[in-house]
Amino acid sequence: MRKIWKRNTAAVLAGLMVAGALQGCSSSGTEATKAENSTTAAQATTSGNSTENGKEKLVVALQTYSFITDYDDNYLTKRLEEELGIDIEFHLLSADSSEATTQLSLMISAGQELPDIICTNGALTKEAVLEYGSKGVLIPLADMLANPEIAPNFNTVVSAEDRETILEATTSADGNIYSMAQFEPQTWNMTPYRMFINQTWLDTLNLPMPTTTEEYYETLKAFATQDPNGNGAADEIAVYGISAGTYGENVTIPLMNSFIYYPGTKATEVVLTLDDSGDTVIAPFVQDNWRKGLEYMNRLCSEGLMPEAVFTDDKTQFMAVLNNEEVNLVGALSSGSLSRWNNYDANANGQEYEMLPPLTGPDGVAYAPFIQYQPTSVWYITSSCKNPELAVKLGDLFYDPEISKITRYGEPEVDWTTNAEALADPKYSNAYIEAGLCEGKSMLVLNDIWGQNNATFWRDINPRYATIEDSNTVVYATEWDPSVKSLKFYADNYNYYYTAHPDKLLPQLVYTNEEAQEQSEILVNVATYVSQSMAQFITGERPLTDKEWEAYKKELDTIGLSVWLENAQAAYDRIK
Amino acid sequence: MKNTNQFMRKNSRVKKVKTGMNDQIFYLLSGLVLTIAFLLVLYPCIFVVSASFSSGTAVQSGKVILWPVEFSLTGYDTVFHTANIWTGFSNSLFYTVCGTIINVILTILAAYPLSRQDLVGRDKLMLFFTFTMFFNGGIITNYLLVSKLGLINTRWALLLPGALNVYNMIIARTFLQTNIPNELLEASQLDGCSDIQYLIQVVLPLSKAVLAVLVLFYGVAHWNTYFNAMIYLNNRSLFPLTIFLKEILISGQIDASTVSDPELAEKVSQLSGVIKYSLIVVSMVPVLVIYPFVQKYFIKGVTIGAVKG
Repeated sequence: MRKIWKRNTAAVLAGLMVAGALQGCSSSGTEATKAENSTTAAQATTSGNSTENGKEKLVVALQTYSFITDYDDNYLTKRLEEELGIDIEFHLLSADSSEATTQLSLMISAGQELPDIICTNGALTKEAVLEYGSKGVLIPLADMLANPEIAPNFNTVVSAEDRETILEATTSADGNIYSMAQFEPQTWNMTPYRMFINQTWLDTLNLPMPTTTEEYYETLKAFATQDPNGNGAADEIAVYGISAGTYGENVTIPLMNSFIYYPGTKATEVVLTLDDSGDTVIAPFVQDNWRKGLEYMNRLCSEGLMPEAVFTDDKTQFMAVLNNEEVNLVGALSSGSLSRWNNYDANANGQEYEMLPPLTGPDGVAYAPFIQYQPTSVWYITSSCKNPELAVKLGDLFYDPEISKITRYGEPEVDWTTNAEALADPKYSNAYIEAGLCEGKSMLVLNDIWGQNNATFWRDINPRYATIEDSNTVVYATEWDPSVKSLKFYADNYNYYYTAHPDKLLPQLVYTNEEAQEQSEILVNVATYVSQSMAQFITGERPLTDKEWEAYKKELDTIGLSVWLENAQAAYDRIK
Repeated sequence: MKNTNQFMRKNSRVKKVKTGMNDQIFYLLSGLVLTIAFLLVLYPCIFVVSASFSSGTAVQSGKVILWPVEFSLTGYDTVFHTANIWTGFSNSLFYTVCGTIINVILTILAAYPLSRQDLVGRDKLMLFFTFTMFFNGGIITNYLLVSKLGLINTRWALLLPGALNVYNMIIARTFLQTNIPNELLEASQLDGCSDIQYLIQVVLPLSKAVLAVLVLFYGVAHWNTYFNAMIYLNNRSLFPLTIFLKEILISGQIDASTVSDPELAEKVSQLSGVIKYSLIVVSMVPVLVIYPFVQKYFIKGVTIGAVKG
């Protein structure tokens, strides 16, 4: 009897504990539900979108970034709220663009109330924007953007030319504008295919800096055969790069530009260009000059100057070779970022290089791949927004010069300053100013928060306006030292590559829905086939005979290159 | 004593010979295959741990092969100084504990009646459950349901959908059916025991093995939950650890075509290279710690259900 009683007490106690635990769950659960209810209630009652304190509220669906510790208690958020006298609430989207796409499409297809604003940099493709726009999920903004009362900064701060570029880039195929954009071109990023050559090896072998493709070939030959790293082994890689590189590492592209102009792309894409007249769209990869380029690289490859690893290595292997500890292995290479060398300024290997100007090909061609700057659409306003004008006003606020600085550099006077006295200090400078490419300093960065955890900004996922001059006149609060190569390269890059492209470039084309559908598969197939064939021709796996070259062109026709060319020409004629 | 020892040794030698060539080859081969399989599983784990203790540059340039290179704790330092990690940790813990409690209660409440021979329409009910294992509405309908129930962006969105896993329920049912003799029920009923009393006082104490299995299955599923959290939650204070983990992973990936300033993104990626591994270790530890305690039940519970099912 006693035993049973004991056991029962135990059971009751256990039950109580479980209940307690459950209650713990449910209470915090209900709190969350309560919070949710109150927000939905707020949403429901506020047809005019005002919260208790009488401020209007905007819900921003924003893509997150892991470095930002808090979005609500955030310097930029507070500043924006203050300027417009509103409340900003967040609906956070995944940091991964493809997942953010899923989240948005779920919300939209579920037909529930959407956030007022969608702020993302990559989650909505042009096609998706067109689809949501035509369904009325996103609202057209052109009229509001043209109204200086609603979009004051866009109409005054942004220069007429840049405004034109932005409007052109954000216009959908149906002629409407559904987004506000980020505009921040940077010279360094527009020519990422930076060629480097080992100056130490040139000095050792007493060779001049090559200027033509033939001299380059001779130099590489010397690198490969005369043991410039002096370790007695023929372990030198004369020219290196990786075709899978995402930021200028694909060395075949800058080399091709000594034969025919070809702008840089992602590894999985190919692009069209214009012919010399600038009127006709052409496919550079079926031109005879392209073949000459392939022949040249095939020569490098067959003589062991360019390893086949260029087509198989990945970024990790690339970095392992560049950072080899005993001796430097690489004579020449192409890379967009100096961070491929660990800690570049102190990296013995990395310090051996100088930047190489574009090489002149046999026909006098000496271009550098140029990635035209495209304003990125980031700020979309949904049909759920009760006050679209306010949403545009908020988007426009980002174009304000000071806010534009905050969105990239952080809090004024803490992370950066435009104080004339501080700027006047001659020890701060940058390569553009030293080389006389820019006049005067515009701002001094005191603390670079880009790579730090902070709650100061949204890490530049927002509209923004900064011209090339703006970004080239920024100086950092470290003493300018002309002997630091990583800094000097900015000027070299500008001098050598920035203007080394044809005058007329093919702008970003906007295809109609039908065109886009017709060619979507073709684009993928052409890209795959071209990059595959390029590797085969260069490594010699496929001989570059007339017959094979004709077969290559014919295969591209079968895949549908002509359809793509026709559509591109039509799209180009529409905007010409 | 000495003699017996000698005898035993002799005996064992005799036994060994008796195993025969074929058997020996078999043992050798199976040992070899299992060792290789073991190494294949072990290596990635060691690599992750080593990488998490190495410097970012060593990881990025592929110097880490087996042991840590340029020992550093930067990764852990950064991980533990990120406020969000702790939010994620406590949320994951919350979802795992509460979610598992809900799961186990619901599963037992479904499995027990279905294990009783005298339940009317048992087969049809089972069919009803099994049907859901093969057909479901897809994400959009699920999302609509959750959204109409008002669960979006609440903790319930991770606790209620999928609160009962049919597969686990079948394991539990089979276990109860085969391991609890019917006679116990009769005996208890003779003593005047009600169904609920019988379940709580007789069945559950005898089902620790299957309870352990359920706790582990559900617990691990909750700890690893990602997709549901991703689509149903949009407030950082509710995110489980996995979402923050993904955020950090993403910050290290660079696609030059979508990033407006790849050069800056590059600089960041070095750091996140190490954080990634440290985070994997940090998020793995709780499961690793719990596993050995549940393991002995684990194998027993699943196999009993399987063989006699």
